[in-house]
Amino acid sequence: MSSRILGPKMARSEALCSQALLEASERPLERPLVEPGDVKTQFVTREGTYRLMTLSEYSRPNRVGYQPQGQTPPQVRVSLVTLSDQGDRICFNHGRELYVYVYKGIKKAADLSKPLDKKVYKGTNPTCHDFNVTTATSESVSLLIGFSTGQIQLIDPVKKELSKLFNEERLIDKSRVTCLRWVPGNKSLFLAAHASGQLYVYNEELPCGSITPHYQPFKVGDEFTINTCKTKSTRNPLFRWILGTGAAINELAFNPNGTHLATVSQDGVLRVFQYDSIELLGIARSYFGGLLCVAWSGDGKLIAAGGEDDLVTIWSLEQKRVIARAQGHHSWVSAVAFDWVLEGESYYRIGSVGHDTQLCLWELPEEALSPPRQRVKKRIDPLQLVGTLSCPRLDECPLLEPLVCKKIAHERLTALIFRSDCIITACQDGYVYTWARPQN
Amino acid sequence: MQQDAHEFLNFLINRISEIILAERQNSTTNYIKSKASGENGTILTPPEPTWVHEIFQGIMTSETRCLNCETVSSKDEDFFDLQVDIEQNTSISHCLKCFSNTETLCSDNKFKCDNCSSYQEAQKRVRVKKLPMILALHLKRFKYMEQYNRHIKVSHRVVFPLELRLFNTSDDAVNPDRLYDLIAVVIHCGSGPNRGHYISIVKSHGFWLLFDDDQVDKIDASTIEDFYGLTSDTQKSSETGYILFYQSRESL
Repeated sequence: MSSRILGPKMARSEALCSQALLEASERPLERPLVEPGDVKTQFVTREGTYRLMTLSEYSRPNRVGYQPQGQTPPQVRVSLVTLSDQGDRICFNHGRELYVYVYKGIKKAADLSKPLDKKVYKGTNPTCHDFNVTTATSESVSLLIGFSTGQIQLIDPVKKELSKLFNEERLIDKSRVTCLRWVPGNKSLFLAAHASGQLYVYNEELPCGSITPHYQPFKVGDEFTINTCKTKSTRNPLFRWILGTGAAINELAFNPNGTHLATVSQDGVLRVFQYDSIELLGIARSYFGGLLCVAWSGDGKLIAAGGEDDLVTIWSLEQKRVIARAQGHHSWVSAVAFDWVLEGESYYRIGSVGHDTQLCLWELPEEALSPPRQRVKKRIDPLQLVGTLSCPRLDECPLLEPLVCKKIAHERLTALIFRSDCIITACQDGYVYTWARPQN
Repeated sequence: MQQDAHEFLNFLINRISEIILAERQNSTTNYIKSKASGENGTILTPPEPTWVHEIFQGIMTSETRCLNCETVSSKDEDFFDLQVDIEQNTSISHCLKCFSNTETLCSDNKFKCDNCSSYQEAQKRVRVKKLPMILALHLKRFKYMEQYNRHIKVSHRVVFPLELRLFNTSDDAVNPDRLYDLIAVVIHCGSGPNRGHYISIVKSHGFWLLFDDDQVDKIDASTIEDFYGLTSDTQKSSETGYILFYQSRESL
């Protein structure tokens, strides 16, 4: 019963073709045999019941699990864009493949037989992607794709004629692209973060140079350096940001109005910048280990970061300090998000998913938002890392318990997006799930 | 017959400590002999810890609360490594937290309460009181399964970060937020406890090296994730982290 192909999917004609069944029967079961009921398909909060929409499941067209070859494949990530009058488009990567579909949300069943675009790459894996929401129209959508070997591709899955490559010869950076973000409100500027710990600003209208770029210092700050390219004509990259001492940058997030940029790295540091002036506004540290994901609250006042300490760390931009930690995951936290829909005056709802296959929801108590009481000074950490505003000791900051903590998959979870009518989660096995919000 | 790496580690540490203590005994005896003519009697002191103790030894404290009289008694115990049970899709931090979960002692396993002078039901919790310089963590991947009447290998995916702090320290711990760095991992390759092959990865001068018999290769830190384990049981064989060595950063 645990096989996805022979299970409840039997009832669905559109997704099943004889080919898929044939392929499926020849393969061993993709998933471990577990007792039914082990994985939750709904959960209850005070606002009501969230339900998994089994017909709104997105995956490869034939629903056969991807067989990774050799190394651990990259994290499955999800990008979405809303086109005026045309609905939504969804993009996700899986192994060496990338899919773009019409996303029908909770309204209609997914039609997996006709992807808008499907790409299969050789010798490299897509690792991340981002739609340009500023320029997207019903006729044209710009989608950036980053690769494990460092290149960046720009395609238009609607118009289909556009395809540009950046860092094609890997002269700018040879390491894995870890995150791509269009600069909010901008039609041509984007940021590319790499495993090398460097971050580049590109203009999609400009070419990349034919030789390895030479850089000159532009700004040097505390634990970061900004360079510009030394060329006669303007070329990509426009800027290079070096954060810390070269630990991989794992994720980037702009605040809702696009003025601030948050970065999280494998060195366990969250850095928050005023984007235009490149001013470092503050930092936070994980309790230990790398920080893997980062997200802003809807009002732009709080940042949540999840990582290898199994915690979600919540940092206040106003107070420049860690105001709470959320403990409930049984493994690393791979994606975090604020629920902007439920957010209110000093009310914050946070969600996170992790390697433990669990979805956790958290509420930030109002007390956590007020400045802390004076505390007795403790022994100073010889490394001067713990016991600071950017990394309090465990007993120096509120430890939140989850509101909801549910195992919702068999494989580790990799993405989490809150939308007005649903929650979207993605799993390392290449499935994207839609959970309908309670109806009221 | 494949020997067990953890058994060997135990044997090695104990043997080294025995040898050092025996040598020390000899020199002390000589010392006493030479001084015996001058003074009468010697003062008995507990043995000084040896270097192997200084490196690996930590203290765990088990607190037991008698459910009858509510008296809490605690007992300290030295350890050279922590043996942790593992669960599927977890982290080593979580497994360590579970190591310190409260356990209820009841039925056949009641606690002898000194206060009540009888066997009583009790709650017991084991936490780390003194954090060692090198924290050795043994993942219990070889489990006895009654239905098969033999030990099988548990290949569960248990992630381990390059940096670690402990969540399961006791309230009176001296250095509860000690920061550790991963420095070595013993990896078991194979399908069962009685067969297979051991390899190890060691961090040396800032580089990760993979030791496989007489072959030593430099590897990228990102390949460590290949040794976390498997999320499904479909593969027979696995290459999984078995003993993790974390070094306290202050000791550098």
